[in-house]
Amino acid sequence: MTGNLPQDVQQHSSSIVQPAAGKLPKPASQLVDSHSVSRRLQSELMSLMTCGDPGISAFPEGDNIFSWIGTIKGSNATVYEGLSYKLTLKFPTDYPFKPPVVKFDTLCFHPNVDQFGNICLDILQDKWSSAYDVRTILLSIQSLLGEPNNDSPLNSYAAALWADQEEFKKVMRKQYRDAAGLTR
Amino acid sequence: MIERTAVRQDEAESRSEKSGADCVHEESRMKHGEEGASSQVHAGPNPAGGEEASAAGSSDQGGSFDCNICLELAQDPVVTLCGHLFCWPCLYRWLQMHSICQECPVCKASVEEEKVIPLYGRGKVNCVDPRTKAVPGLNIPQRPSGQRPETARQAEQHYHNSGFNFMAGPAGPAATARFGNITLSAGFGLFPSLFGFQLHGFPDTGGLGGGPGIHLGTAGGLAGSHIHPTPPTSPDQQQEALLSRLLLLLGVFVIVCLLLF
Repeated sequence: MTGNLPQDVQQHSSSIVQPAAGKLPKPASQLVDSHSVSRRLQSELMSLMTCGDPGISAFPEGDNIFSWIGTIKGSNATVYEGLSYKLTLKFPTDYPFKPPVVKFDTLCFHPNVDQFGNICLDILQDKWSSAYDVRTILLSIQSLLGEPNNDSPLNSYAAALWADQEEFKKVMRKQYRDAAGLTR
Repeated sequence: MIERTAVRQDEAESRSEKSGADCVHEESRMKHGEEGASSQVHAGPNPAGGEEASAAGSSDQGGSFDCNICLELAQDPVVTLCGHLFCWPCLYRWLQMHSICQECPVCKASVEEEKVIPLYGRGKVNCVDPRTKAVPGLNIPQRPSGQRPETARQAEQHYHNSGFNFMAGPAGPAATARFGNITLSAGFGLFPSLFGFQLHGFPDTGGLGGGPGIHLGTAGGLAGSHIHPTPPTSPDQQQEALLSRLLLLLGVFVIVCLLLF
């Protein structure tokens, strides 16, 4: 289903909002076992807090364990160095059998992130595995920042600009500052 | 990039699956970088990769027996051929949801339901996993049973069998020879090639001289070990051998006499 889509932002975002809907068997909506899901999420939260990975963090948003806010810091030696990005993670009731919906909350100028914050990352769609967790997702997105896939961009302008790292950095930093100014 | 690889995937097999052209193939990149940065990955307790975590020495996070999906102590534990531990209900649900491409959630190796190995611990046999009840739409079947090789002792018994067969087998002609001793001398003539075995066959019959009828039966049924639950001790055997040799000599003598005269 994701194979031959035109490189068009709208098509992209629609395919992301409903990840691989046609590819997998219908996830039988009654497969709800919120108790075990929340236990798994709590266990993930515990280990995430104790392991102390540099540059990533996440915490449930309010009382709802099914909705988290994550933070990613740009890795050193990338154009995103020193910047910090907020993300939202929304977990389905059949997590971890289905991936969470992860979006950038902070505007992110990146070839594989669209203007709405949707991320194009295979492990969040058809390559999802129930052995992945919040930590692996955040680490993957963190590394995606420094190593975009410019062959299938959501933001084709950013993809075209990536070759010129100085220019890219300039545009990206400006957008980051503007967005920060808007939100603050 | 080093940070990229902090995902616990064991095999660094390079599967170059190109699906979804509009997506970043993070998965393959994770695998490629895994080896290079594994030490970094193991620096802290691994939240979900219990096996790797314990291998790296973070024993405080005793997750070696946690299911790779629910991250809790595995209920109805099963292990895939690639060695990854899961609760059977968890793995079954995962395989059902990915019925097109059934793969191990941890290492993406292909997983066949029938080839999953159940682990039988010493705990309660029929403790019900709460998750099995809580999934109305999905009827989780019994764990596949273990693929049990033959008992090791059986092979030993087989060896015994053959050992006895060697002695008991020729007992047939030997027995006929016994009867032949008395009645038919032609019995030997009919089995000239078996005559050589007579030496081994006779001791047996000599030892159980009291019950030749039983012995005949065992020789036919090739079930010597059932008749001889305890093998005879060696001094007895020696005596028997001597006795049987005497008997044999006597028998031969009688036969020769009968043939000559």
